[in-house]
Amino acid sequence: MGGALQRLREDDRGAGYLAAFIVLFSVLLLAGVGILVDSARILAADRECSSIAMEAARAGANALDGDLLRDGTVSANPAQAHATAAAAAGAFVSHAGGSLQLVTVSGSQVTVVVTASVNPWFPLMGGRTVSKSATATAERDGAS
Amino acid sequence: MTCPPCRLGRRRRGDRRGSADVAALVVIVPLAFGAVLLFFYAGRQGTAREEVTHAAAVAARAASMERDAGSAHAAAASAASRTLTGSGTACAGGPGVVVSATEWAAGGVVTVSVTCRAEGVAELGAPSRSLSASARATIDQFVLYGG
Repeated sequence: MGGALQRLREDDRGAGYLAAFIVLFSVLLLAGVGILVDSARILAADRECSSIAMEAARAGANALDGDLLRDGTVSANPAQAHATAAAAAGAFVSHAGGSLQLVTVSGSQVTVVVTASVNPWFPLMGGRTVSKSATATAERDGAS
Repeated sequence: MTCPPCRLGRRRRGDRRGSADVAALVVIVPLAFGAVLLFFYAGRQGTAREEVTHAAAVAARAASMERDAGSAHAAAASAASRTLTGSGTACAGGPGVVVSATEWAAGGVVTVSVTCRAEGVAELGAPSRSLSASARATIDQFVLYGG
């Protein structure tokens, strides 16, 4: 029994192989988990940007032209829509860590572009900037 | 005695070839199993985070359709839990929803925060993590009543 134990202790066959395997395996594992975690964060930022852009565009499209409305026409007031959308987007992105890129108004159509940059926690993927655009149109519900 | 099984038995005694592979297997199999669980955990946390972000946006929109705090909270809570259930994200104790607004009138901004305690992986000792996201929506200026 003692001899067997002694032999086992002195036997270092395969030890290097196993150690190398464990090191390599751990590095690959960490890399895999890092890619998973960081890509999930990028996707979450993507979704957040898209909802911010949508809500800001909707806020802009809410600024209807009062004079036209009295005649029964639903149409956005371009200057007011632009200001409202920009203000809303600015307030929303400042809470979420994104940045407002562009607000355009054409007719009753308000388009907002919002970007956010994600710095990865694991040094495998470079930093990425996600950009999302959303458009909202002022129209009477049910009829265009 | 020339039967093949007996010869095999005689050769096996004292032969330690391949024992290193057995030792390696003892280490590698739990390691690989742990790796799979870890990927599972990271993946689940990632999806849960994304779903919570989405649920917050949906809940904010639902809350902005209401004109007072009580009904807005009810609408946001039901929208958030429906979104999370629909996407298969389980929150321990249900999602927590907090609704606030600058003013409950046209042009006011509704802020909805959704908190979800996503499950961990018990086999890994990975704890459940609290994920939260918030979203904002503007209350509509014009609402068409009747049609």
